[in-house]
Amino acid sequence: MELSPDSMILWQWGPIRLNGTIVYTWVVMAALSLGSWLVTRRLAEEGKMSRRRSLLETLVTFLNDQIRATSRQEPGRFLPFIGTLFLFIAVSDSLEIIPGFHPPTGSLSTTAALAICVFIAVPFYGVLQKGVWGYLAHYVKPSFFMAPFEIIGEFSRTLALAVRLYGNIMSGTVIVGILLSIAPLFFPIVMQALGLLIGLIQAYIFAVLATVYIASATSVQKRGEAETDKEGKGGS
Amino acid sequence: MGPDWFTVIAQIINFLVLVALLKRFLYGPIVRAMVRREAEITARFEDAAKKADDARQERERYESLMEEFAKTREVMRVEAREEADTLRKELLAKAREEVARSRTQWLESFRRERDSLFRSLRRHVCEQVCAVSRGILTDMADASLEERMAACLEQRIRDLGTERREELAGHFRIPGQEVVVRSAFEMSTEARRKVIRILESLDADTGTVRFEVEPSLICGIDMRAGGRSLAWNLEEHLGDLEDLLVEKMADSMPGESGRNDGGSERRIDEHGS
Repeated sequence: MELSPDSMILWQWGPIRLNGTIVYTWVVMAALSLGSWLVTRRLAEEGKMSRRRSLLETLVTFLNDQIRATSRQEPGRFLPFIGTLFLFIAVSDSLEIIPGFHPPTGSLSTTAALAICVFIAVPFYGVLQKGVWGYLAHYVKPSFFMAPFEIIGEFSRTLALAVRLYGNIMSGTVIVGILLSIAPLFFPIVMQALGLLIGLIQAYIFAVLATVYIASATSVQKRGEAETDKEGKGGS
Repeated sequence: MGPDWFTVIAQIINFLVLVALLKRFLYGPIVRAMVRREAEITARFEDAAKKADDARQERERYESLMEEFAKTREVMRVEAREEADTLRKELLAKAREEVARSRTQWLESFRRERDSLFRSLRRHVCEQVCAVSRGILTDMADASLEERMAACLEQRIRDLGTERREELAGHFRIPGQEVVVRSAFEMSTEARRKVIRILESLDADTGTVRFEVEPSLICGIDMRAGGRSLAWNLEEHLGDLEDLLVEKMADSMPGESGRNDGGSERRIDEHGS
């Protein structure tokens, strides 16, 4: 039984291997991009609301509200990254019900790639907000000795992100595969439905955790600013 | 079981491409549309609020106008009523004046017509009476009416009494004074003789007697000398008749002229018969 679509090698040329993970990822990307383009291509010309447009607006509003509630910041700049994380994972997991489709999130390579993206996005948004030194300063606060722990925390949470998603999705696939061999009628369907729910929950958890990490990077900066201001006033 | 690093890198690139694609085709247009719609809704609300404010101001203006109009209307109504009252009074006064003037004119006209009628009646009655009397006197006494009138005059002078007759004779006996004897008809010789005899009884100068015909006397003889007159005619009786008619007519005045006229004719007919 194939546990990961990584092992589905479709084409290889030297070290370059076109496996199932990449192909299924393209399918998800194509579905998301095409769907969005079909809805939004005549957005400016439409005078009244269509159902599909309303659905997308509801989705975007939901994402905005969640980001705002979690980060306590305006969601504008985070929306493309966090929203894409959620949509990609949710759509990948949902397409699992299609026979023959292997969700790319069931591959540790994909979840690791997403976790690495979050790992990079946290300092990216932090630096964008405060600047390089401003961001790096939070590693040595409140003490220089906290820097190693902060760095270990950064790596460990990235690892946790990758493994949590991979484990959940892969386990769902594995469970369905095992059940098919034990009880091929009816029961796998229930488990597949449960797998859909788990997939959406994991997408939500992944997106919320990414938001929390990014927000913590930017909110640390704000706290640092407040402390600096306080010190400045006390000194004067 | 471990990650395939080529796949990891490919997936990172794929994810970044997907972020770019969704930003281009999903978040950008949708967020812009939402912002635009929010702006439109805000603009509509502001427009609605402005229109509501305009409508409120317009309503207040119209209410003010209506109030002013109501006041003006009330004032105009009062003025119109006063003018109408004044005009009505003026018209009533004019109408009353007109009615009074018409009534006066009508009464005057009626009076004139009545007088004219009476004069005509009197004339006709007198003529009729004279004719009847003449016929009766001619038939019964075998004498002309003038003769009979002269006899009546003579009898009347005789009935005056001595003192009155002497006083009367005092005016007629002046020598050379012309005595004018007037009658409605040409007097006969016999009648003239009787008149001469009457004058002689009054010691008048009979040489200056002049006989005249005066149709207005209708029926009778009138003798004048020295500013005094001695006469017998139907004028007196007809005057009494006229007074009676006028009195009767005045009793039934004003208004029912037609019936009065009929009544007058009836009375005249009665007198005539």
